[in-house]
Amino acid sequence: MRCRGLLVGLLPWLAGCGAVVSEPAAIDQAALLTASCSGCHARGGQAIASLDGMPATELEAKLLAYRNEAEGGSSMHRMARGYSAEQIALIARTLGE
Amino acid sequence: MTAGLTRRRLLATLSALGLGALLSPASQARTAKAGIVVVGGGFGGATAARLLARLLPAARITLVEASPHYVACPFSNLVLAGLREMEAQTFAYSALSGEGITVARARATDVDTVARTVALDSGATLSYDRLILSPGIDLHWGALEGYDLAAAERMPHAWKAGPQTLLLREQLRAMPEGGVVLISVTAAPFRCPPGPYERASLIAGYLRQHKPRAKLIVLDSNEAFSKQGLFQAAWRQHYGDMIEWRSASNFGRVIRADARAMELHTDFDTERGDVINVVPPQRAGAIAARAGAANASGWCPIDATSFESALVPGVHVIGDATIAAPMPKSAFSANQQAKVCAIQVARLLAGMAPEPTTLANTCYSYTTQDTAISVSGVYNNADGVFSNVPGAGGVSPSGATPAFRQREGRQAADWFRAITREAFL
Repeated sequence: MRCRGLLVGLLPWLAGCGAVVSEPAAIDQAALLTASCSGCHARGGQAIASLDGMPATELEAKLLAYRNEAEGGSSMHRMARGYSAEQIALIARTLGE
Repeated sequence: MTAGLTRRRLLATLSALGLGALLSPASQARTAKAGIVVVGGGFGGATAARLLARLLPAARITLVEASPHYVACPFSNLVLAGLREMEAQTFAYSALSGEGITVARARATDVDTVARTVALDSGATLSYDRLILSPGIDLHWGALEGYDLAAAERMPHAWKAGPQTLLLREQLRAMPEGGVVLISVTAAPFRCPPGPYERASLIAGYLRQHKPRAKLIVLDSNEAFSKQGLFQAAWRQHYGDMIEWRSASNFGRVIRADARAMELHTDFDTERGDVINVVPPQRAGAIAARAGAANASGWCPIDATSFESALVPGVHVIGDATIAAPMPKSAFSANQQAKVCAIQVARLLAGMAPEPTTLANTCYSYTTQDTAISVSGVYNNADGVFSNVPGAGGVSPSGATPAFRQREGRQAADWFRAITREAFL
């Protein structure tokens, strides 16, 4: 894991998070992936389901459940099936606490 | 505030801003003086301008929009049915002005893609390093014989929310009991594929309550439509035989409108209506063609990874104006394409290649005032081409409980609040 430029100054905060997210290219991918989320799950309560304060582990487990529940018919079930476990982990680490 | 929250916020901010690779000093120096012009202040343009202002705080970002406020199309069918007021559809640009975005209240009249300039009807000329066009749709007047600007005052389209929405609402209110409402649907592609059928549902809901002997006929230039099975089941359940849908091959294709006689002519038939709503032929907003970004179809081919025009370099196109199938022409798509495009524009300005990713869309449609159905899709945009992710997406379950349909109705309302907040508030 290597971080350059201004990222170095942010390492104390990043240190507690997964290596994937602190890799610059992965941060851009995290931003691209979570572009699908923020239109519904905006911060501050104006959302279908607020993600504010949700731990990353809980968010990842929920997304995986949506992905794996074959009988689930909600829009989240239908969308989560389009993401890999790795993508879900990155989304959860990005949006979760 | 806990340390965890601080770290979470910082990470979220970093991630939301796509500041990963963009943070290097070389990238910052490259992008500092960049000029980015965004044309069109809808869900796509407003979202793109806002994210770019956060991604590239030193860049010059100008949003060109002729109207002082935006009137949202999603949820405007509720206005038609008397369930919502236009004020709830209307958004100003004041928040954007406070975020370092120059909002130019003008119409973009031309683009010089060699000199990289945009001409405005105010007389001003804006130069750009990257141009993002989010012009939405223009109605293609005359493409349906007899349907022009004047005809739309008698037979509203209400396909751009605003005075047309209120005109159609007033006509529905004034219609005598036992009257006939006609909705003509143009051949795909058009803005908001499920929109005409949500509209039929909510108008039927209004009629059932206020004019129960009225009839609603959908004359469709298509053979099938979005969420068709779910819509038709809801129509039978809630409105009995009030709604009749005619496919293109079943005399549904309208070939001529006669606004004076209040008649629509199909291939073999003529239908008279007391209220007639025409969802007319459409194409990309005119500035796209001026920029050379629209092809013979009237829509804009793009590289799906970068949203850069396939026809003119340095020009990106997002939202309804694009050829992005299987992504639909929806506010959800436009908002999300805007965010992905903004990140790619920032990467390109910093000398980095666009990064493929996965995108998603959900469109909710009301079938009654408090129940809704939805269609979702997930898409990859690698190698410049959109593709469906196999095994993902699809529509709400058939035969779901009323509680499920009501839950999707609430989700739709929450979606509208969240997306308008992200774009405008």
